[in-house]
Amino acid sequence: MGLILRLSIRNLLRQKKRNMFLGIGIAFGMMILVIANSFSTGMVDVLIQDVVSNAFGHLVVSGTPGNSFYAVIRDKERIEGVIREVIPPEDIVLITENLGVMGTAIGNGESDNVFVVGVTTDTEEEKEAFFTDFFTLVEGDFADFTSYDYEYPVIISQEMGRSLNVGLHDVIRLRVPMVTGQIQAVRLTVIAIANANNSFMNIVLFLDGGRVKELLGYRPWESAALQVTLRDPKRTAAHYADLIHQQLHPELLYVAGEIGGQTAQILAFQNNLEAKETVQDTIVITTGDLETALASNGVMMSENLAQRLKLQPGDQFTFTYETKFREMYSEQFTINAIFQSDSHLGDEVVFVNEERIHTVYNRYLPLDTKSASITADSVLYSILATEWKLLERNANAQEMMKQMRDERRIRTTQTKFQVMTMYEGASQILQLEEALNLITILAVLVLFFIILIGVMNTLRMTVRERTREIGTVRAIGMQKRDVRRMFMYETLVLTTLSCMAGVLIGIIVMRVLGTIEFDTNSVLSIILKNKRLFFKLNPAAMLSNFILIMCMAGVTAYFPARRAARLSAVEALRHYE
Amino acid sequence: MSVISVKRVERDYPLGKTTVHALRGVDLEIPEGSFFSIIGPSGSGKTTLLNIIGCIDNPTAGTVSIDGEETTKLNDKQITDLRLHKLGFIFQNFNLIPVLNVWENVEFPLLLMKTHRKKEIKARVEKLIAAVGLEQHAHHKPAELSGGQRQRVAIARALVTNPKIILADEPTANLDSETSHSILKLMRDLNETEKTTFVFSTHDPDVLKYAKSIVQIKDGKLVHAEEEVI
Repeated sequence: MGLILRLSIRNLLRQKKRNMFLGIGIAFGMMILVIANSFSTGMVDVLIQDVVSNAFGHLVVSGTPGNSFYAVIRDKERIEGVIREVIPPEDIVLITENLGVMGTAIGNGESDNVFVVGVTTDTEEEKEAFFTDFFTLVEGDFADFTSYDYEYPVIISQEMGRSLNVGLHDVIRLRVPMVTGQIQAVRLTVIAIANANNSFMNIVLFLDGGRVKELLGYRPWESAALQVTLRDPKRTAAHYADLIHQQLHPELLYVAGEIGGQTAQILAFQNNLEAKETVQDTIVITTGDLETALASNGVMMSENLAQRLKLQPGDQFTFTYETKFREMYSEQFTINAIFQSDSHLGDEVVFVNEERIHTVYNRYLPLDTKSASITADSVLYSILATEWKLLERNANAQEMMKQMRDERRIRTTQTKFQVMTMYEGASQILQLEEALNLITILAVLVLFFIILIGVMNTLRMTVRERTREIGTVRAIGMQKRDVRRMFMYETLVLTTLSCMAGVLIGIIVMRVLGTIEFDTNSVLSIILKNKRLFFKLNPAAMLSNFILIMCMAGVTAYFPARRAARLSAVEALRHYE
Repeated sequence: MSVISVKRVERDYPLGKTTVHALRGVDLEIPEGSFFSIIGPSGSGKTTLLNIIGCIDNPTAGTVSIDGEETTKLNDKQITDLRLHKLGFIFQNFNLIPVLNVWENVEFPLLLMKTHRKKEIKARVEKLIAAVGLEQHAHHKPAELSGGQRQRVAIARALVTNPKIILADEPTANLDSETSHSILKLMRDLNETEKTTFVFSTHDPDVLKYAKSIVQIKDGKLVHAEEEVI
């Protein structure tokens, strides 16, 4: 050990009582800092891990039809394929359908707003693991969850049972909005009463995912959002979200089918001014009204096709095509205008405003989406509608909210796809953690400021008491910087040891506090995990706080130490207390 | 050849509105290997002269050379280095470092030098502790030693770097006469064996019989010099 450090440690031990009191002060401050920090990290962890990630996964791909509020992915397999193509299997824990909806539940003379969640698991083991990890069973049997002996088997919490005044095997009437916009009313049977490990989940009614899809009007190949649980979300979520976003680039909206036995294809132009002007400049209308044809339900047909079908503006025709899911679908259109066939679109095209076709297209996805005759070098290519709109990725929840607001202003029926991670979606929770940590650190800085004033005074007193010693070591040949270092080391060693003690005491206190059970249903219960306070040590934050405290201690010690170093040897030797 | 050369050194101290002239044009040449005593009554300027020779105080006027190096031209770091390498100090109040034991106090200047290997340090400290007769007390703290023992530690500490000069300001002032004699005898022996120049101040006539050369100082001026008393 270096001479200066050895001297510093010996000098620290010389004033045991005084330094012990100072050390207790610093350790206390550090303990508060560790506890507060671990509490906020733990709280955010509970909110993010148990609430946000359970509700939304680490990464979500969602589709929203037009300006609606519900999420529908019409071709679940395709989107899941993109996800699986981008993320290596070893990084995926689970891909699940995010099936959730707000509704009203009516029990025995009581009603409440509830959140209905569909549980989708691929295997029995997954289901078993979900039940045992997520719930504490009070009564009933999880095995009945998928039983057809009951109408819509449901798991509810004790709290929900009390609130709706229902018990095991009682019936709950539920009203929820379907994806079609209608209200669905069903009878649910309570097959288990179980408390979720996070009380936030106690307002949730858990149903089998398949039945929730049926209930909400999703068809088997459809889903709400797809949520991915990743093995290492912090490191990989944003990267994979970006890659998925790239892969979700939409194709042209194109439907191949037939009209009255004639092959035909539908292409759509975007419903905006620029697109309409381009159509106006490019397409030559032979009969009919261009203005009506450009309107949101506008339909134009190529001259050759119209002649073959003997159709005029104002006539109706039925377009029939095979959907991706092997059923035929027919849609009726009314012609507004007929355009010259030698234009850029080909001679068997029905050219429509995108608003006329999105709803049909999304609901009945065509089998053939690839063989459009139009090529990318066509003038019209850039104004053609795509199968969906891919929303830009957002850095945080504020950007996401702004994007949502901006999107809502545009009336459309086009589906909007979005890829987000929980770190963006829950950025406000992460900000909450930052805010809590900031408040903690400010409070503790004030505490440390007071403690370190004590350190400074003690050091000044020490310098005064040891003036003759300083004179002696200077006379013998100790350099000024070594004298300064000796006093600095004393403070820094004391601070380091005290901080370590503070961390240790903090851990013990957290362990003790973590054993206390809080039986509360108040809003505070959201931050409890298994009814207990949850602390999570944050080594990075602890290290940065420690560095900050060391810097503060260093600055406080510097001035008395410099004063000691600057003492004249002869004056110091002459000094008498 | 002079190891210490003091030329026309003056030292004034401001005291309120007046100035105290502690040294008034002192000229002194001390040859290498001397056992040199500066005598004089209290307040005569003995300590001031020793402090200036020891480079822990600066003269108001005049020059001081130590081993041919003019100290007034050096900066603080160079002066500190000079003190560490060429000078040893023995103080009236011993001035040992209380948190270090005898061994550690003696090795302290060597550790500051950072030039010696562990083995060398050990050998040198061991030899000096033996020379001052404190082998049995090597691990005692200063507070556990008598005055004489403490001064022996101080002597060992002063000698450990093998300095050219040892300055001792009234080294026996806080010791009884028997211990004083043994300390002076020890210093004298070390002067002879180690060939180190000893300069010490005293106002005790008993001490003088050990000195080889004596100068008397009165009111900041050298008044009388006597060579080879013994």
